[in-house]
Amino acid sequence: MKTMKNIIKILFILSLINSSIYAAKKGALVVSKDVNIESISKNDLKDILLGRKTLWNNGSRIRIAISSEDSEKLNQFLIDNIEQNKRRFKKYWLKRVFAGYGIAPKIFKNDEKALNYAQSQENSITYMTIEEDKVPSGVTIVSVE
Amino acid sequence: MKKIFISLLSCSFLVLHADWTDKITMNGYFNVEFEDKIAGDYSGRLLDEHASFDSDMLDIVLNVQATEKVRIAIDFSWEHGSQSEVNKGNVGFEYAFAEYTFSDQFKVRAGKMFTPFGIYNEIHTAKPSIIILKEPNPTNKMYFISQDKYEQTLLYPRWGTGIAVLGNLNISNIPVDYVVQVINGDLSYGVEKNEYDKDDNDHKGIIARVRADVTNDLQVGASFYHDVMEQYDDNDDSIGQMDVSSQGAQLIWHITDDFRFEAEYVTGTLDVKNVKSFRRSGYSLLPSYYIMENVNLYFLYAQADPNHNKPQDSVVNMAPGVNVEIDTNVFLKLDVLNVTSGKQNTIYKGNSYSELRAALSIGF
Repeated sequence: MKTMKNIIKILFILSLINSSIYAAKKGALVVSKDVNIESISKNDLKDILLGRKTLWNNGSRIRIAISSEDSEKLNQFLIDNIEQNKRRFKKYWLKRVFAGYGIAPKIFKNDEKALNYAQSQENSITYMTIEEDKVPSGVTIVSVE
Repeated sequence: MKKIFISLLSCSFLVLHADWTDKITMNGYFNVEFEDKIAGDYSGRLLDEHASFDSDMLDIVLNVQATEKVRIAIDFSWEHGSQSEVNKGNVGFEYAFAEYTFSDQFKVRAGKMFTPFGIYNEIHTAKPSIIILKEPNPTNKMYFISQDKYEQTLLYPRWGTGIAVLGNLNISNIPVDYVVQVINGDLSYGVEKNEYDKDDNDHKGIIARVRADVTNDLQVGASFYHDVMEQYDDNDDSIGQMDVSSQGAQLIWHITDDFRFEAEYVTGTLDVKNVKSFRRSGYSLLPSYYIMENVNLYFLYAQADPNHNKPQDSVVNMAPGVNVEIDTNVFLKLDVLNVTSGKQNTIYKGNSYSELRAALSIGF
């Protein structure tokens, strides 16, 4: 019986450690601090991600970045917001860049690099995953309406 | 003092480095091909009867964001194993233009550009961005469907030097993009002059295209081209003018995430003063289907009539194929091109021809 209690204790402690290391993450859209918005319409976001809208309202050029660390969440984000899956989105930009119609979004393989970019690059809008209960410093989280 | 100087110098390099990486974006593509005749014969160009590897293309695309409003786009290309010492292959740039953004609705370009006609011309060299191995000959390469001097005149030039206005509009909640280009125009095939430097007549080539995303999954578009070209004899002496006028319609439909269909129709007239006047037309159909996340099956069907005044001179291309993305933006393509024609066709003469084609295309 005592052994059983010890096992339960150990499992409980392990579950706490595990949850602190692997905190749940969610997809988030962030902008650099100089971009004074807290929300963006779905149409504007779609136009930005598809390269149709390239300038913020103040005339500055929009810099787009995407973290592909969580491929499934990114795919869902694209489906939810531009109604294209990741594969189609990638093909779209391959054509667009090679045909001379714009600069492709910067793709980062992990969230840390994407966050660094978002914090340091003026006029940027970045998709990445963040921990549910944390707000990254140096950027503004933007809601999509 | 020396330390301060070195520190200042280091700082200045860092600043330059930061500016450089902020302003310039580099992408590109690589393509190597293999072609081997399976059956048939013809008297046209580029017959691969001995099984040929083609070091098709290395291409670097640079985007320089010179200011917030000014972008310079350059596409350098090295084709077919470029080797200038032995005068082989081709080195050049597909485009090099400056673009000023007044707004997303109105931009202006100047320089050498791809001509924005139809689905393929602006991406015909960028093989990673197209499903098939090569753009359909019947609608894009007239010299693959006729040997007649006039019939092989392209429906529109591949490139042009001039100016363009373009932009993205929203009309009744339908995203629309447009481009109107005014260029020097094309030269007759094989003429040793440079249309990217000097025009050979007072007429300018005008090209326009509009595309509308009618729904999220359906895009339709239309293109137009007109120019008056000089025609030359074998000594490159002008012997008169010819009027080229072409129109195109296009459709790209994502029926499902996996099933895609595209179609293009082109038609046009060529009026060679005091020689001949005729209409030509062609179309291509391309259904494709992902049987796995990275395996795309396709079937290209394309047909062209190089001269409506001549009976039995049409050419049909059929190419069933597969496109496999073996790694991110690394595509392996394989197809079998089958060509059939009418008896009066100047290249195939009613005979059929087929070849195996393979390509490795990498985008970066």
